[in-house]
Amino acid sequence: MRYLLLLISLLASCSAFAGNPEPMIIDTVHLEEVTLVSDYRKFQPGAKIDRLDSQLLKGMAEANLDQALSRLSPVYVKGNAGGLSTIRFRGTSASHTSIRFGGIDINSLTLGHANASGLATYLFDGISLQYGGSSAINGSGSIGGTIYLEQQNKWTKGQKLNFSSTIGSFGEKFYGTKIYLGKGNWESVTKAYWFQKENNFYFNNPFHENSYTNPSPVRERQQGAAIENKGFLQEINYRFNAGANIKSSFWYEDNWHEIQPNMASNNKSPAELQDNNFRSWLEYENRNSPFLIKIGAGYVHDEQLYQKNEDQLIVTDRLLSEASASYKTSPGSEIKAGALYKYIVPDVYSYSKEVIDYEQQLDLYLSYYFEPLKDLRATVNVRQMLVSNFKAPFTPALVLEYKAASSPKQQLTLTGGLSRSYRIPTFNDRYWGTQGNPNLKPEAGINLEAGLGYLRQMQHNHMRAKVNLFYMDVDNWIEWKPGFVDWEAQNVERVISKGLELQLQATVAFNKIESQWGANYSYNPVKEHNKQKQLIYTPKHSANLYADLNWKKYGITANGSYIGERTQILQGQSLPGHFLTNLSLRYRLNYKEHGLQFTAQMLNIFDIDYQNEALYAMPGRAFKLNISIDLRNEGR
Amino acid sequence: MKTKNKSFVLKGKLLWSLALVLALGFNSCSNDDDNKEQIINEEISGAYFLNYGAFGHGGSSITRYDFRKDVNTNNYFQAQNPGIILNSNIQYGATYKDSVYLIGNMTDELISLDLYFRPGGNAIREGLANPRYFVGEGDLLYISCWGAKPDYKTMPDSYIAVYNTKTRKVERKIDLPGGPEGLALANGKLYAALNYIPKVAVIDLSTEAITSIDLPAVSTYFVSDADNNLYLAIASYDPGAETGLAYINTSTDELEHNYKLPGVSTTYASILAENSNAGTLYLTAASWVEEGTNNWVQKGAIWSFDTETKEFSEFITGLEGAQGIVVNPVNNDVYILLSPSAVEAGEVAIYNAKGEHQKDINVGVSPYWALFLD
Repeated sequence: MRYLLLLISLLASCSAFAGNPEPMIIDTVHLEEVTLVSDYRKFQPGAKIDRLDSQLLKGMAEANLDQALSRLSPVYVKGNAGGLSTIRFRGTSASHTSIRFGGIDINSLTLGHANASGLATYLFDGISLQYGGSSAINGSGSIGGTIYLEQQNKWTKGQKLNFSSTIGSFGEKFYGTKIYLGKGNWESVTKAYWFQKENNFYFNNPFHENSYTNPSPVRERQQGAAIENKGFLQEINYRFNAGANIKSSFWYEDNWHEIQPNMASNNKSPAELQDNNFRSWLEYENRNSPFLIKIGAGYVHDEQLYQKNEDQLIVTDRLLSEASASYKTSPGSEIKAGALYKYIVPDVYSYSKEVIDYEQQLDLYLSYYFEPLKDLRATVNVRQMLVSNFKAPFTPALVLEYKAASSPKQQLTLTGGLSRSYRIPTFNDRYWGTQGNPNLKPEAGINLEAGLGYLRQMQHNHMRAKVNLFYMDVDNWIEWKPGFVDWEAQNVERVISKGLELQLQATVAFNKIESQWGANYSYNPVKEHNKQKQLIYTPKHSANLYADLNWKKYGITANGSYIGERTQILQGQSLPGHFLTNLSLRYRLNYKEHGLQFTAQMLNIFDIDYQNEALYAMPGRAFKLNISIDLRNEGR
Repeated sequence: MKTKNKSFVLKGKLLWSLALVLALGFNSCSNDDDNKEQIINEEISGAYFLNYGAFGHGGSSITRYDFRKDVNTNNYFQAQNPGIILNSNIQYGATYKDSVYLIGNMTDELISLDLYFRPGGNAIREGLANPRYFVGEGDLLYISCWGAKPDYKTMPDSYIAVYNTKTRKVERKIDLPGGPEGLALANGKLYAALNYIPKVAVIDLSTEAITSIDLPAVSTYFVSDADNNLYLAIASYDPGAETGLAYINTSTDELEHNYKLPGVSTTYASILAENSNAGTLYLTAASWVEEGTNNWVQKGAIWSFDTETKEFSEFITGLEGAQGIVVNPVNNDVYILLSPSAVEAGEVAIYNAKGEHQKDINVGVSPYWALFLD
């Protein structure tokens, strides 16, 4: 038992983003409650869920979600230099990634995806990535993967303050603050940030004005790619007793960016886009009875304005409410049932009010966790979504985790899952002008997954290796393409995505240096059914590796990421693969319980020319300096 | 090696250039179609398909189809110009005098090429903001432009750029709100189809005074008849708009008729074409029709319009991704430009004038326009 506890402690302290940090153990050791999202782990044992390293995230406070994923995970982020980017898991498209905040999927209901460049990681206490479909848990859209933006309730006693500021190349500035106030039974958490970037980096432009007589690239400065994002997140939480509490989150984002011109049109004055989002979620939880009861409600207002033209305002309002109850039928089994209701009102200039005034959605779900055999954990999840004027498929899922061998020094785990996933078409797909398609069917996927994990404990060090195989078959894939004569949304494809994912991770201590090492590799052929060509913007190969060393007050992190060749147009054009290397140095000074940390970052240190989206320039070598101050006055 | 035939072209220099469907803009060329004495320049003879590519992401290309020899060459521009790529998405292109002019989006530019598709210099960007279409007269090209930051409501900043082919510069701008798209010349006037307000602008080229003709909805492209009057595609994203084919008398500048046809394509491609004697027009249109409860079926594709009887009839149906039509002026074959998606190779389906399928050829991504050289 002593060895097991040691193992658990090490597992918990290892902050490697890459490995699945044995979520149940983590929860146990840290006594941290991941609010609003905790059930996704409990009812998906064996699912591949990684958590980004919170320590590394802290050292890049200014990073938006796209940058954090690009640097700390092997997930492909398609996008330009910070204005717009989308996340693509396992060869799927942007709208196949759910981004969860509490009970809310923050993806736009009109576009189907969220702009990852407008999500500041600073606002969140943790970011977890789930690979593969999870519609039975997360509903429509979770076909390729899910990102959980986590808030942790620490039930602060006293006051805590963090202030973080970054300056960087290309006119980058970031200021953020987090203020925690509480008395143990209540807490107020206030987080705010302001981010600005001129984004006027230099790049080699082969598409310059004189290219028809001189095709050699010329060095040009990027124009029209400025960004200014502001965000405010307020949590107010109250604990009635150890088993009952109420939590609330109110998040407002004000994001503006110029729409980066492509390399060929670098001299053009850019258009601009303004996004305003208000997301709120209130949740009551009671576990004092044999039942764990949760009741939540939320309101979301999404607004997008192009070129300050009020005539083209795109607005959606959502009211949500959710209720669930779970009951432990025995020590090894638990059943949960719930319902989520959404009332959605779109106000989009190109929608006809006669066709769409509002929409109601009701999700009914049931989860059953059980341990049919010794060392075998299993969950059956089922979900049925009901949509006014639309039919969504029934969505079951089975996930398994089997501890095949376990000793104080090593552990072998087998995981597996079979699930259905789906996505109902966006409002734009169904209602945009004359091009919305009233005949669209929901996308429907089948996700098959198997994994093998090995953990080896060597005194104070450990090593973990994991292999995952997956097979995803998504039918009725929706794409905008020419119809009989005009562009319209169509169910056009059946896409098969399969692959192999490898993860290696180690924690090694020698002398007084503590280190973490890790690597990920993904092989992912993605093709339309009966076609040979790789789907566009899906790298067949991607990988990343990292090393993090800490010695006394000093730390150094190096990471590199490789994104393989991506087909850009199915007539031969492709983006070449690229490998980016980043380096980060930090120095932390502690005084009593207060802390001061300096971080210096050098990104793309080899000044690699690359593109994540065809024809859109990306910055070369860049430098950043960050200072972070932690002040604490916590009661004991 | 083929011998270049220098006796090609019409009137002295012998370029007989029939710019695509809409080449009616170039009336100076289209009236002289006596090709009995024409000597074919085999090095340039053919249909040239202008493949748009993917907006903002490159991929534009030229496909040359030598219809006499039945030889198809994709990536023709690159083959003619090793090491040089088309920077922009080719929005429109046509021949004028001895040159091929291509209008590019993202980046906004005017590319001038010789008849072998070799650049005659760098592209022109100055003065061209969101260029759309052009027509030529004398040394000037009139280029419709939407302006640097288009307001997609009424397009208050759109204009006509006047480009001098001798000085290779945009000489001046004629302010023209409303988002001018297709252009046509007739009787010393420039007609501009406004794509954001339901009017046609008429610019007197001697005074540059602007008048307008009211239309039932917004419009896109013109073709002219033998009397130099204009047919104009009325196409709108508004599901309630009355779309079809307008007929404008260029002597009186009045809308004489509006031949209704639901669901005229809003694609910025060659959606309206005419045969060599302007007796038959072709128009792409489709609309959703409810057959049974909640069973919506999309109908239509290519319609023909008889300019004598003034009646539409279905020419080809059931094709998906029909972005445009062009008519081969030599044999009146109808070329239907097909795009399966914005990133896949397109296709051209060739039919004779009776609507009988002849063959299909593979082209580049999103073929939107074509021009013919002979």
